[in-house]
Amino acid sequence: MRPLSQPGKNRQRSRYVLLVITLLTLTIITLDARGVPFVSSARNDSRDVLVPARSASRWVTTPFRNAWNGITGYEKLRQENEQLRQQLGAETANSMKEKNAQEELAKLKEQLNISFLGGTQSQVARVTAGAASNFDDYRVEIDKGSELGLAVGNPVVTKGGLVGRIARVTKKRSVVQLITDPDFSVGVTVGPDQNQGVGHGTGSTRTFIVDRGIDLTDAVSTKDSVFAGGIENSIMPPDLFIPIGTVDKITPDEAARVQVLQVNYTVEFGRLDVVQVIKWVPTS
Amino acid sequence: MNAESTLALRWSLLLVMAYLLQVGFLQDFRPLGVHPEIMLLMAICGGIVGGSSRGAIVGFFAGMLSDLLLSGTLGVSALCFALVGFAAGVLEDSVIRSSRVISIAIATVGSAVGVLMYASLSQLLGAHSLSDPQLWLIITIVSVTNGILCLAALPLCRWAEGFGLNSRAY
Repeated sequence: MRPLSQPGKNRQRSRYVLLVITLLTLTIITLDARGVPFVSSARNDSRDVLVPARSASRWVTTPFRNAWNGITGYEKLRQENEQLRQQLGAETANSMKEKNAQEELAKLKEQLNISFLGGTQSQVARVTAGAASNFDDYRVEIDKGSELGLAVGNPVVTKGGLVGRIARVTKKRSVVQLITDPDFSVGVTVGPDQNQGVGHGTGSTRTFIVDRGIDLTDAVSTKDSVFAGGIENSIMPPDLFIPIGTVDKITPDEAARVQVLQVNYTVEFGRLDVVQVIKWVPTS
Repeated sequence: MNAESTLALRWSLLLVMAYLLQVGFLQDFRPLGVHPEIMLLMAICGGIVGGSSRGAIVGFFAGMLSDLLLSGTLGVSALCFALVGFAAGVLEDSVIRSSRVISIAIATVGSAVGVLMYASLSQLLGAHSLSDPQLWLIITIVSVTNGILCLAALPLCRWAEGFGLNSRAY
């Protein structure tokens, strides 16, 4: 058992230790904030080294996590099961009525393909972990990295539309900055007239805001589709129209002489699992 | 192997185990959507068991491991955890007679201070953590869960410090 109070020499040593550690951490913070490559690469390499240990740990604890999720999400699971059973019953009845199984299959296949990607090179990835921090940092980790050609800036999509872009990449993993991040700004094309503006996340998984570039005279209406891309020198590919959502509410801002659009996302951020990374990087 | 090396080895082993527990299980164990911060708890228990300098050192390494998981600036958790670990050691030293209740109180208050400090520092560096609408919920849940978990963590930290699992050092 250690002594209840430390002698003066030990206290001096403690203060010295604290001073050294504080200076060390402040140095690391400064170097990382200024984007010094050595710090970033050391961090990325350390993350890669820890990947097998993290995967093994998650594999070992799967039964416990499942048990916990079962306990806390029992009611939700029961409701979802009930809903799915009803849907399944309705679908089965419809199929039997139409007797057109081939056509149903073709429709399903069409749903699985991401139509807006065209022939663009992409990589399928799976979301391995959600936010590691208690504070919402609007980031998720995916299980593919630079060894498969992914790079910082690559857009990430699902068949629902734009999910975000790669913010950090290591050999085996990447971190995706979600479009819901208030710091995520992107050029958008709105409606059949292809009006161009700039929007950003709001922190919510439901609403995206377009608050620049759509003039008061521009023809925009609710239910219009909002796409990322189609704009030169954007952070999204100029030749692709990636859905973000549909306009829910339009508010004119007389002071700024623009229309502010409230957009509902087409992607369900609560259910992110498999995503596609478009192998395209912005020019600047 | 000398005593210092054994001490370092034991603490390293404990920190790695805590890290694996955090990423493997606790990250998904989210009462009201908030998970416990066991690495912060390690720093506090290090301070309680081994004194202020041990708390600072353990906090630094625990924080660096945590920072590898997070997407924020590297070193923020390390700084916060080191300061909280140090403060926990100072607090524990300032009491005349250690008791389990005091250790739990230090773990609970230390966790609250650690989370608040992390949020403030992250906000200064451009994150939105201090303005997070769930800030007070996060502080409450982390404090309460760490207060409970410290009952299990303290014996392990005592082992790492070389006192033995059954020592009565709180």
